[in-house]
Amino acid sequence: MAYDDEDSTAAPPAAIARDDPSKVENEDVEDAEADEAISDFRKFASSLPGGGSGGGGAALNKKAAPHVSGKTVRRGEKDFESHGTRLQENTLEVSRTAMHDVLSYTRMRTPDNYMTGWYFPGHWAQEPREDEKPEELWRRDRVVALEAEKGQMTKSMGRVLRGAPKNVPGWDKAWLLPEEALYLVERGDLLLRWPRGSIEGIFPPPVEVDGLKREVARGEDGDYELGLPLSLQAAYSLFIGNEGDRGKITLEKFQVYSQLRRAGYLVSRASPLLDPPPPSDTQTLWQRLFSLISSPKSDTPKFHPAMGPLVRPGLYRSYESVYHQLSLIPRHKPTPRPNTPAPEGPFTVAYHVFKSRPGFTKTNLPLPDFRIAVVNARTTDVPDLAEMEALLGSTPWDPPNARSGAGGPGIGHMYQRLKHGWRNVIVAVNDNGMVSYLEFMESAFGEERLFERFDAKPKPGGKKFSGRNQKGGRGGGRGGRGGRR
Amino acid sequence: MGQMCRNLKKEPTSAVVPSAPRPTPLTKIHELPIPIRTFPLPSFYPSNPLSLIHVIYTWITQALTAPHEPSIVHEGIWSAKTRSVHIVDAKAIRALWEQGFYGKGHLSRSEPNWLKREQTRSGTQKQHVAEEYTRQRREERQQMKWDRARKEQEAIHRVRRLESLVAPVGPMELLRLPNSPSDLAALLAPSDAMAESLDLLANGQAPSRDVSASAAGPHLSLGDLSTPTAKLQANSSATSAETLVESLVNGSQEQQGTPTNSYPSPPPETPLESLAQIKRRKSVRFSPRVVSTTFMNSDPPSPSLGMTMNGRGAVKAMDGILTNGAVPFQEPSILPLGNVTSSNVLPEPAQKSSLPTLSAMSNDASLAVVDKEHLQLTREEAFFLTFGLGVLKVRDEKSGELLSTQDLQLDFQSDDPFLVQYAVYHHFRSLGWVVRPGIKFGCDWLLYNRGPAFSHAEFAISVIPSYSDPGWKSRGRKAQAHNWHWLHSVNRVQSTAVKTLVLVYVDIPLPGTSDGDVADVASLLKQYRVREFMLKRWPINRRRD
Repeated sequence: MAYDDEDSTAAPPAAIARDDPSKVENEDVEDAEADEAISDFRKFASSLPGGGSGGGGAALNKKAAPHVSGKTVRRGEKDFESHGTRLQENTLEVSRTAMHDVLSYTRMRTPDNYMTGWYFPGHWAQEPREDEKPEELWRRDRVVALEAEKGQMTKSMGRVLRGAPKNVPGWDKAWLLPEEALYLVERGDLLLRWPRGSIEGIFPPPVEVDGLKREVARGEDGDYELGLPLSLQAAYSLFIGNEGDRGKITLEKFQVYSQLRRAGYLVSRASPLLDPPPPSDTQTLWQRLFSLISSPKSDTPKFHPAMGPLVRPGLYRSYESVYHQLSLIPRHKPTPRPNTPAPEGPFTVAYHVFKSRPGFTKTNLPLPDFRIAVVNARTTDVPDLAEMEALLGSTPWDPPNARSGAGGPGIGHMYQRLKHGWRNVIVAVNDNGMVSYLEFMESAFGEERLFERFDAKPKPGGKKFSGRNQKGGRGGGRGGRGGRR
Repeated sequence: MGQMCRNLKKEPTSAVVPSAPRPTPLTKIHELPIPIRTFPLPSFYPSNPLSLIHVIYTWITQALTAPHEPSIVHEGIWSAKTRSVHIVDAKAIRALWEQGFYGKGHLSRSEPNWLKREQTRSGTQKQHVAEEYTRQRREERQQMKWDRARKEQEAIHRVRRLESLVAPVGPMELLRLPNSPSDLAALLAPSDAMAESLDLLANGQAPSRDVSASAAGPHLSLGDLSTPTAKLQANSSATSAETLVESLVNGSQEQQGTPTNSYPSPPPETPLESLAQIKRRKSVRFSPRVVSTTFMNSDPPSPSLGMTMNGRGAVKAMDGILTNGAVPFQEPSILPLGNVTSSNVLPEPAQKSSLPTLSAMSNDASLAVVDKEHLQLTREEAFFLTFGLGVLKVRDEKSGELLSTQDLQLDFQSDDPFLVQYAVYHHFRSLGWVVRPGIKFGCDWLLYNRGPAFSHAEFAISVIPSYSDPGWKSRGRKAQAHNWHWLHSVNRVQSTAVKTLVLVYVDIPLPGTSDGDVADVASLLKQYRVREFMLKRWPINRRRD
């Protein structure tokens, strides 16, 4: 259960004041986020099957319990001191009981609702990494074979390696990555087993009987003869390793993976193969003809007086000409095909993250909504310029456009364009399990030439920047708080 | 009758105060984005041939008069001690502030308006002063918080009254009834009784027996708490009431008066003898009314109190907290800030302007107010005005000689922190942003569209120097690493201030790679590379759908 710790630092008003019919005005830092923070353990308890109001865990319907752990508990409202009313005492008592009920119910697993997986760390180790295809990514790292796919989880986890030859045992099984297996074990959806013998004993090749392929039936206690069930601790020790270990995952990455999964996202390991090719920069015939006529004006003047002033005294018709002379330091121009080296080290996109959506198939992944790199907060620093450029250069070209609400000429749209950026990536900074997600955007202030607005005629119907921000006065800038992302 | 005469007399005084003129629109005041005026030609409309004549006329007049921009070159003084450039001339101060928001008044928050503030304070003029608005807003917010706290207390009280109508059934309530074992324990151990009474006070449930014991005396005692209003007051001033109880128990009468705090004003005569009569049990006194007082920062911290206490007027608690006030607290009266004996009076806030003599006096005083404020330009601002726009000349503080661009830029290395900061400053200024120092927001620069008078800053800039040239490695030069905690704290501050953090990496060129003279600032600056990366928290629970 994850507590929602993403709220703003401002404390919500006390519980009892909320009953007041007259609305209390909030602090200036109070966000629109507050409405999400109202639910608490009582609501969580009532969402449990059977309701939390009954007498403890016995009232809970155990059969429907498996999906409980996927729910999120948000914290309730805070009363900062006891004010001696019975109402407060009762509220506290009810919450305590609800929490007790939630935590004390017995979780049961029946063979119907868990899967069995076998740990074969070396099965795909000899496969070359080079000729990977998008359908069978990371096959060297897939270490757990599922006997049968069952339940919701397998819709986004595991992969049957279609490219493998049919004589390899286990070719038709779904194979899990270490983080997927560990996450399933943690959820109680997977019983992991350590095989006593080789893979042929567990997934024997089908025997041809009378021209029909038949699975070899196992005995009643066959599983125990074939392998030992593994505990969660054993699973952790098998799957958690260092960066670069085959068939293992670092603890930081696993924590981020499991947090994202619990938060409701679909997550897959990133691979450059999954990225779309950069847009071609071929110009249309019309553009090429047009560029012949008007050669683009150079951004910086050729000559600069060494000791200044850069703006030479004289008569100026427009501010554009003044600012043209001021232009001195080269401005960044984002391109669809950057010349950056491939990212190395921790600042590499580790996961592709998808919002949950209907029709999601693991074999045909859509374009990810987010790309996440995972770093350790204690061993890494804020990336330097080279790391930042390489990391962002590995993400696809995503310029601001009208779809992202940044189309218009107004100043608000300009802010939107700058904030959207031309590329973006999320860095999950993991400090021993506490994860902070930061989104970095490649920005280009040079693309927004603010000074062009100075020459605009203030009268209505003037030039193209007549729609500039004329709000004026104090506090005008903060008025748009609600419109921000 | 005399009071009326006074009021009548006061009328003409207030009429003398010039009524606020129609304020100049901000767009008019800050018409020029930089201290350079442009002369655009009027547009030519083919449908209106006369407009051609207008164009030609404008062109000819401009050719004849030949406006030479920048028409005025301001002068500043380089102050080595403050490492800033001072502008003393009032016209230059206004020009540099209004045309691009350069510098800061050394007696003001940012806009150099100390004189205006003084005049508004003394009542001679009514003007728009930003600091005044801030003060007002703070007061309003304080009032709002106070109201909110009151409403909360009222709600609690309402609940409590409703609950009091129901018979006590719970074990805790039964224990709190009179004649219960806890009362017995209180009787047996008097020292514990005090704690018990405090507890009861907080709970607002006063056993009747204790009331009768302590009901001696004319003041409000615990027994009166049973009336709803008194109970409410007791709750709203719970903390101060507790301190009062403690202080009475200790035998000394301490009083803590912090600015903009509410406190029960004690009765004017406090008979300490009555304390002894009550056998040091439950000797709680409440004032029938709760008073809220607001002090201005410029007010003397209750000088009358300090004087009578210490016998010297000059000694006072600096932050307005009275340490030991044995004398009843009084309304602050106007007294000079300095020593009491001197007769020439600084203009004090005109909150007591109901007294005609005083307001007249402050009027006289303000007439003599001389503008003592100057504008401070940071080195980056001064360098941009000199090297970039050429609208400023800087003189040396001592010799009075003109300083060249080189002199301004004291250190001439490419990784000089000043040049790194200046590259960022110039980069954003040359794009049309108004760039102002951001130390108050924990960043290096703030970016305003058009200027702070128009809108809040949208972006906060943190400059990170970068040495990515391979030549730097051989020289052993590495950028100082920033840890994640630094980044998060800066980013958290910006999101609280509704700004977006921008990390600006400045790639520093190797020194000496530019052929020729190192002193060529322009070609040196051309080799810097400035990259912006926007930063935002990604709340995991809010981006899912």
